Amino acid sequence: MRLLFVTLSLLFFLFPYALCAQAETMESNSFRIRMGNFNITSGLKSSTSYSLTDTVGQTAAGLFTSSGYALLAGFQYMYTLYNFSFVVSTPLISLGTLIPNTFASGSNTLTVSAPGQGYSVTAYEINRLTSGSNYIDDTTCDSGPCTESTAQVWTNTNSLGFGYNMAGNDIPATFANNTYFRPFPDLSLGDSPATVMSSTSAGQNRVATVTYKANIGGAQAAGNYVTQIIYIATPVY
Amino acid sequence: MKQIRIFLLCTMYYVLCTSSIHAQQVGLSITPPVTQILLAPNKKFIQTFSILNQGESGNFVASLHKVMPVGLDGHAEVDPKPLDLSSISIIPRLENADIELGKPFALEQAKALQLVVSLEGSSIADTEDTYLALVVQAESPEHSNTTITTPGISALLFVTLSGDNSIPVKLDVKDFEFPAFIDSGQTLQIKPVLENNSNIMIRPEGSLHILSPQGKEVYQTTIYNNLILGNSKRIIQGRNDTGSPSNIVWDPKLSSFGPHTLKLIIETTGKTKILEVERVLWILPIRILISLLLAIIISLLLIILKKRFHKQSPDINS
Repeated sequence: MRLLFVTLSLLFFLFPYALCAQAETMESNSFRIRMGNFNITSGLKSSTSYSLTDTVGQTAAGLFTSSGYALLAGFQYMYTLYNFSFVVSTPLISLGTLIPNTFASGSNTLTVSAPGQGYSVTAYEINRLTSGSNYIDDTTCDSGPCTESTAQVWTNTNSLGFGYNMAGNDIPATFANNTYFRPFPDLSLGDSPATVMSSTSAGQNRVATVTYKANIGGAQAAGNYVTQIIYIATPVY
Repeated sequence: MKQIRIFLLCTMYYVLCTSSIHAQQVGLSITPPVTQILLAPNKKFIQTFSILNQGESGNFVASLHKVMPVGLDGHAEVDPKPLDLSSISIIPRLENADIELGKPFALEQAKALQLVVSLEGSSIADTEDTYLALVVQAESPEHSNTTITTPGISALLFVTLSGDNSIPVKLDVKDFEFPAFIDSGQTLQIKPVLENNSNIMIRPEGSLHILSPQGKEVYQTTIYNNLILGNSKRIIQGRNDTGSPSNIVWDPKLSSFGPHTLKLIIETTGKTKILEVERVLWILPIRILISLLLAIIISLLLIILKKRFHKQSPDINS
């Protein structure tokens, strides 16, 4: 009886102090960290001769396969050395005061970094260069004519319109040199976007220069002609 | 001396306090760039995208658009028109408390932001795919006095919504034909195309083997598991030493001769064989044969010339 009493007393006093098992859940009223993990070390280490990313101490990381599935577990399987990025320099393009039968141009650069298997950049204009109810037509170049997909030579000052040329990395082969131009697809007319940069390889800081050019005739009404060119960078899947 | 001190102090002040000039640029990065999801009806999936402003501080707009595969290399084209939610079987939402799809939000230079996208599957009985892009672009000004270029970056979201737990597989191999024979000194570019004739995306694996006339394996590569969207095609690529995709190229040995068998095996991720295609290609050491023939002809000519010379020499002596 005495032994039973001692045993029950010990259990009564020890039970409240038994260690509880806690899971790693980092959250509060305003956030919740998904896939939280405590590591020994992690991140990017580098020197002049190497660059290393690591995650040390992660539980059950690795490649697991069986019939019907393959599981790549761990931060290093979803970590990319660099993010997919797209930058346009100088978004505002001023062609200045247009003089009849005189080319006016401006330019900016597109810079893409794409891990994985490459990317493409498509472009279109919201509408033609417009000032109120007046507009400047898209160019058809000197002869050909040039289209939204095919560039042609545009050097004759009697050929009017608005178009663009590209030079640099990953540009369409149709831009043979800096005299080749083509018009932007016009979203207001239902045109599909045109590819202006594309690659099937990973690459950092791929740069292309876009040169915008306009030419008007003597009958063009005076005004401030503007449009908006939209570029969308899309990764290869 | 006092004037020099004042001059130096003023110079230091201007150097330290003058703000540096930055060339204006607009840009973003986004991660992850591609997400593939298998979803069940009435279930919800959440994906967080991290965007980083790599240009000047400004306003940006996030929107969802449909995506279509183009070409054979895994390129996709984003539909410029806004997404018609009634045309898809999933319900996408932006779960951020302070950001709405189609409405501008501010993001400072060099700052990052998480966009939380949820996708909920509708009740459907069969299986269908939806291909979307989350596009984040600089806000378009309502009125501008000059032409403006607006960059946007997209992350791809590919969803298979399966109501009957079945993923149809209808693959076909195209462009796996070869000439009657090739020279053993010639590099063979192998670019078969895998055609997905179902409307559901698939990520097939497999291998390519080349066997000699004696049945010995002279070349082997693992097929890289590229994603092929529904009703689209993609060039089959191998894996290089680092495991990255690469074009399949074979350099036969110069001494190769005879009918070689090219065996292409396509499998699921779980190693279930989907299809196996074989082609026979004759390898002839044409360069070696031509070189040998030329050597024989030259040798014969030399022998003939030598004999003629010897015939003429006894005549002279006599």
